[in-house]
Amino acid sequence: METNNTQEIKQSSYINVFLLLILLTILTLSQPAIMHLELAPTLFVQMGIAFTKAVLIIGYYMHIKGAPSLFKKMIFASFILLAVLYTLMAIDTYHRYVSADYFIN
Amino acid sequence: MSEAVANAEPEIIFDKDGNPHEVVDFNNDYIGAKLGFWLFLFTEIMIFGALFLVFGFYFIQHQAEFVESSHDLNRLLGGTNTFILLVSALTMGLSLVKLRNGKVNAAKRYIWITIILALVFVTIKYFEWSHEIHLGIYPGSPTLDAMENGTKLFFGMYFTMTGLHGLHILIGVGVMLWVLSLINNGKVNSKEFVVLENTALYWDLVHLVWVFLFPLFYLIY
Repeated sequence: METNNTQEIKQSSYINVFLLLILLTILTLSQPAIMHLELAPTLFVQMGIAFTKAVLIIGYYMHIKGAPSLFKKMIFASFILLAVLYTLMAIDTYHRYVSADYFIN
Repeated sequence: MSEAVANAEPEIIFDKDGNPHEVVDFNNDYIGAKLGFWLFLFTEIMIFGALFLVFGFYFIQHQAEFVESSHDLNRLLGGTNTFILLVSALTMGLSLVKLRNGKVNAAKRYIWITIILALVFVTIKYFEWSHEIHLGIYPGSPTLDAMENGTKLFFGMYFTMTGLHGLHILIGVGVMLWVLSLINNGKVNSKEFVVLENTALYWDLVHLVWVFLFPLFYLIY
């Protein structure tokens, strides 16, 4: 039986997204040379670029943009799950963590 | 297909409007195959997500040592590997496009290019690790044990995360070789390509992890 319900995928969209990703990668590598930033802004810029790349990869390379809404909902749910996990951990760490206690015998 | 199944009357079901539909082989469920694979990818995201969380946790506690240790990594080799993975994600995607358009040989060629790029990635990683091990920096080494706590944690996370990522690359190579054999057998073709599509999804996830891993380890200065 033939595979049904498939999305059309185009070579041109792969190439276009690839060019965008190359541009963003060049930006990632050249950021320290073109912008002299403190640690926190560096992280913010680098993670911003990485997040943009992730959206492009998930949207176009992994074909989520034109996928059935079930797939989109699943990805959204997993993103929320990770966000909850990270937030709980951050709150816990902020309120009761004693610095470097894992090296105390 | 057995003779009994081949000769059986097709089973018909009706939708709400009374239109008949033939019940088809449930082993060939394209959406189900992709959905199942996405569930697997989520378990991968939870594994790497937890590791990134641990990295962030230690990073906040030992910022100076993490930044200093990041300087010791080879940015040229790391950057080269970033471009290699980027190109390999493209060739993997193009293999799917070619297979779906019935260009089987072109599809196989693109898969082989992806395999070669993956092996180049692992080889570069091998040289990077060898250099660090040569300097006496590896988990549990006397040199590393004598260093600051933050440095120990940075390199511990570095070897764990790039090691786990490298393992995924090697598994990916194995899966691609398996897909090539399926294409050669005609089991994966221009009509039934979900195995290759899921392999491409896996490869995109491996690429995705590196997109975050590279700046966090190599570019925090």
